[in-house]
Amino acid sequence: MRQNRTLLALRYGVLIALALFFLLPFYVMVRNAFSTQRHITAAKWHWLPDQLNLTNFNNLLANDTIGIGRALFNSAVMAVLQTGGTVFVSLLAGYALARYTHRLAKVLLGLTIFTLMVPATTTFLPMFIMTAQLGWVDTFRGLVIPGMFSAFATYLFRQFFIDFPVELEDAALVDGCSPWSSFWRVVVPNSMGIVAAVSTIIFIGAWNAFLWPTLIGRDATRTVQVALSQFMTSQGVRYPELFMGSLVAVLPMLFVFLFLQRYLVQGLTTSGLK
Amino acid sequence: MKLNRRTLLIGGGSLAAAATLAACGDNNPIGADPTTDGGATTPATDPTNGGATETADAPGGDVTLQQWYHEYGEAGVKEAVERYAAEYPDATVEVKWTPGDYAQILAAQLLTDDVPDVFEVEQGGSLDMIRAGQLEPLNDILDPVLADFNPSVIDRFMFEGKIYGVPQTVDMQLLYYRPSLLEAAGVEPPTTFEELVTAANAVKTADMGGFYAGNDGGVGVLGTMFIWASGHEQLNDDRTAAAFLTDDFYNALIAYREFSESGGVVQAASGEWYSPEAFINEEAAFQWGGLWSLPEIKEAFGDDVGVVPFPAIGPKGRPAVPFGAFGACVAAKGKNVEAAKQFVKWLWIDQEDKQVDFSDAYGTHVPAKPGLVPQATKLADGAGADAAKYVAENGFTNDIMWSGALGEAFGAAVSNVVKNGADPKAEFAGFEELAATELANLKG
Repeated sequence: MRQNRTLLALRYGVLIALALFFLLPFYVMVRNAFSTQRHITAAKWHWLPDQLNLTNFNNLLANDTIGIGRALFNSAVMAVLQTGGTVFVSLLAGYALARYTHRLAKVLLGLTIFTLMVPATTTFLPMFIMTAQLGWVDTFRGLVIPGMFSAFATYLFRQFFIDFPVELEDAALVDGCSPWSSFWRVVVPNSMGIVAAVSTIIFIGAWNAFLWPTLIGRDATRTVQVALSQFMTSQGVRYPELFMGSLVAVLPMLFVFLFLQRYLVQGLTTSGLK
Repeated sequence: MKLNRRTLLIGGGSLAAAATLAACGDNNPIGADPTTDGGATTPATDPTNGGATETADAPGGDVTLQQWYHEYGEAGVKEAVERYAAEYPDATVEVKWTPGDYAQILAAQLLTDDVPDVFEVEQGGSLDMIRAGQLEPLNDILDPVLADFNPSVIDRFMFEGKIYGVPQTVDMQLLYYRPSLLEAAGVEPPTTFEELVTAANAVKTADMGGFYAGNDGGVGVLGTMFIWASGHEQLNDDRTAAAFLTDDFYNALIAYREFSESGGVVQAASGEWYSPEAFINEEAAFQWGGLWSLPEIKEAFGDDVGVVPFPAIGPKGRPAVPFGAFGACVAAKGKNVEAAKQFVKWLWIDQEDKQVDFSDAYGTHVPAKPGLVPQATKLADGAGADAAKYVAENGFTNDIMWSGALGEAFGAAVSNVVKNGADPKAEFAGFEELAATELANLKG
């Protein structure tokens, strides 16, 4: 009995230590968000912030060049539209790839999986040129549409629909539904778990996206991640505003994680990432 | 498919979403007509409006030029370049301030049909840009005034008899020290590497290290300094081979390794080499840094600041400072090439008061024309004056054909020698062949 308690205490101790270790970067972010530049870059490390007030927050808001409010709005619009668009397209594509088993479907599935193996950075330039030729630079169309076709999300949906009971769809067809309406009336309502999981993953990815918004999002559609990068120049880094901005930018993700973590975990489990 | 309320709702929702996306899209400053579009580039006609373009009443007539800058860290530069552009009488100039990876964004944009008319490029244009025909030669506006510019900078900007950028201002790196600390330790500002080692070890204390050049021990930023300061060039005259693979260069690397191993080099500090924190916090008595940090350092230590070039190293050594200069370039496939050239000439050749303002009023830079240096107040005396002299007398910069592949291989070899104790001759054994192959490829 005593041995069990010792083991339990040891386990808790290790887990708490690990949790603190992984939370350390977040603490440093909070500390820096409420510190002065001098305090952050001091030779001697300080655990506590030296400016526990809203000075850095006010400086962040007052910086018209950064435009944090507009950038947050742009990020929200981009993340919501990209999530909705990606889920819509991938849901249909994943269902089709799960249900159709003829040769062409297999070829399409193979091509879909193949695109997962191509590093995204290699397709950035041609994708940018095409987007620019369409006149979509610095538009939400340019930010969202090229990213709506996700092989990853399609594959997740496809894997889910393979295990989805066909009997439910057959029953709907017998009751007079077309394949289209059975999909929307029977399949989708019974797949909200995976939809929420994929949505969560896509939303977080879209919110945190940097490379594509760097190229496409200019003054009118600059997202928060790109806007914050303005605090880093070749002449130095403005740490207090950068970390305060990071803190502000991470808050929406924190809410998403708190409320949708069940689906996030489910998504990661389904994808095999976990 | 049956048409019922639900399908109508879904269809209507999809249409609404599409319409929202379409509506959100009407703000493209690149592809749209800048005279009618409410784009996001900052207009030259009203630099205070925070992004709404108002070009209808522009003084510049029919021609609208788009000018790109990278994001300068010094406060006030953006407003200054907008002000310059607003004063140009012969065209409307829209200034586009580009945060983030400017080089990458510019390179991508130049591959499209919507190119900026005028843009700044490091060292006045890369080999890739020149070979791809993206840059308009500017010899016709620059040749008559070439002698006015810093010869080292012009030499770097020139490629095969053509020049593609007008130097805007010059930045440089140099070695900061505190004269009072050296005086207390009884040492002089170093002119040779041996003197640097002696001085760094003499002034360091339990709380303050000797020499600092970044959290990688200095191998990143100082790599090519070992070439120049040991008396070599990167490439031979006809750019067919590496020109520094000698015992003097290898001994320079060994000397720096021994300096590191002796404890004279601070290996980690609160700021990187390009920011002044480590020096201001007195974590090191000497710091390799940028001229742009001079105002902050002077604010911390007043006149107790001195600068020297990287000292000569080895028997044929010479002092060296690396410099960099952005050049104003004109897009060869821009819509108004001639108008763009005239604007570049007006701003970066004719308007000398603006050139001095650009170099001197925001941070510290050296005007690209030596004749303007006396007008730069921050370079009038002390460390600023010394820095301006060094860049003119001891300035070096990467050869235009010192490609990314060569830089990567060189940096890895230097790091292995200094950090891992590798034999320099063995480490650079393959570099000669790599350089010859790479240069042959670059020459086509």
